[in-house]
Amino acid sequence: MTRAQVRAGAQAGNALIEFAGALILLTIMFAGIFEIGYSFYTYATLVTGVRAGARYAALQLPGPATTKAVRNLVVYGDPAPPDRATAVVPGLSIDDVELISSPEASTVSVRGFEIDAVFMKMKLDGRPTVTFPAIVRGAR
Amino acid sequence: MTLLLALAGLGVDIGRMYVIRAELQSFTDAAALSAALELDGSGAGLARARAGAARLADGPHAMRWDMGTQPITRIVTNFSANQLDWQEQPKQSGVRFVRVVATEPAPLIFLRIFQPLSSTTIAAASVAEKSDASVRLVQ
Repeated sequence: MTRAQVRAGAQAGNALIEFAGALILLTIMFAGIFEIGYSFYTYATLVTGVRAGARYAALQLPGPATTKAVRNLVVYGDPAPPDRATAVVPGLSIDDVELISSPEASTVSVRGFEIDAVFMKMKLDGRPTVTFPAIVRGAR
Repeated sequence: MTLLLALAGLGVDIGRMYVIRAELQSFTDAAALSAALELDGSGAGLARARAGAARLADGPHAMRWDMGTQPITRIVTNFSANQLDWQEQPKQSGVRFVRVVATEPAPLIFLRIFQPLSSTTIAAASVAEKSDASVRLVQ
C-alpha cells in the first residue's frame, strides 16, 4: 500500500466521523423541532376544540346532556359523534374535558391530559381554559 | 445551516405565534360577548361591560396566553353605536357594539437571528353586538 493510499484512507475515515457527528447533531435538532412543533399544533387544536365547547355550553342550559355534548365537541369535534369517531387529538378522551357551568358563564378546560410528542410528554392540567358568558335565556 | 435555522424558526416561533393568536382570539370572542351582555344604554352598563371583558382574564378560571402560562393584561375595550366611530369612553347613547382587542408580545427564539427583535406583537380583536333579543359576535 502506497503512502498516498494510506492518506486517502485516513481522510475517508475522518469524513465518516465528521458525518456521524453532524448526523447525530442534526437528528437531535430535527427531533426537537418536531417535538415542539407537534406540541404547538396539538395545543392549538385543543384551544380550538375547547373554545367550541365553551361557546356551545354558553348557548345551552346546564345539565348532563349539555356536559356530554360539550365533552364530545371538544374530543370529537361533534356534540353527537358517530360510533367509532376519532378524537381530534390522539389520546384525548371525554374524561380529560372539564365543564364548569354557572348561571353567569361556562368554563371548559382540559385536565389530566398529556401531549405525547414521542420523545417528551407535556402535561396539561387546566389548560387550555376558555370561559364564555352564558347567553341562553333563562341561564342568566 | 442558515436554512436549517430558518426552518427551525418557522416551526418553533411561528407555531408559537399561531397558538398565541388562537388563545387571544378565544379570549377576545368571550370578552366581547361578556361586555356586550352588560350594555343597557347607561353609563353604569358601560362600566360593567369594561369590567366584564377584563374579568375573563382574572380569577381561578382566567384565560391565559402562551400555552396557558401568561396572564392576558393588554386589553382595550371600545364601544360604538354604528361600528364606524369607536370610543373608549363614549358619551352618546345607543351604544350597541363592543370591540375587545388583546395584544401580547410573542417571544422569538430562532427568528431573532434574522431580525433584531426579542418579541413580536400578536393581536386579536372581536366585535359583539347587543340587540334586543340577545348578543352575537359580529366579527
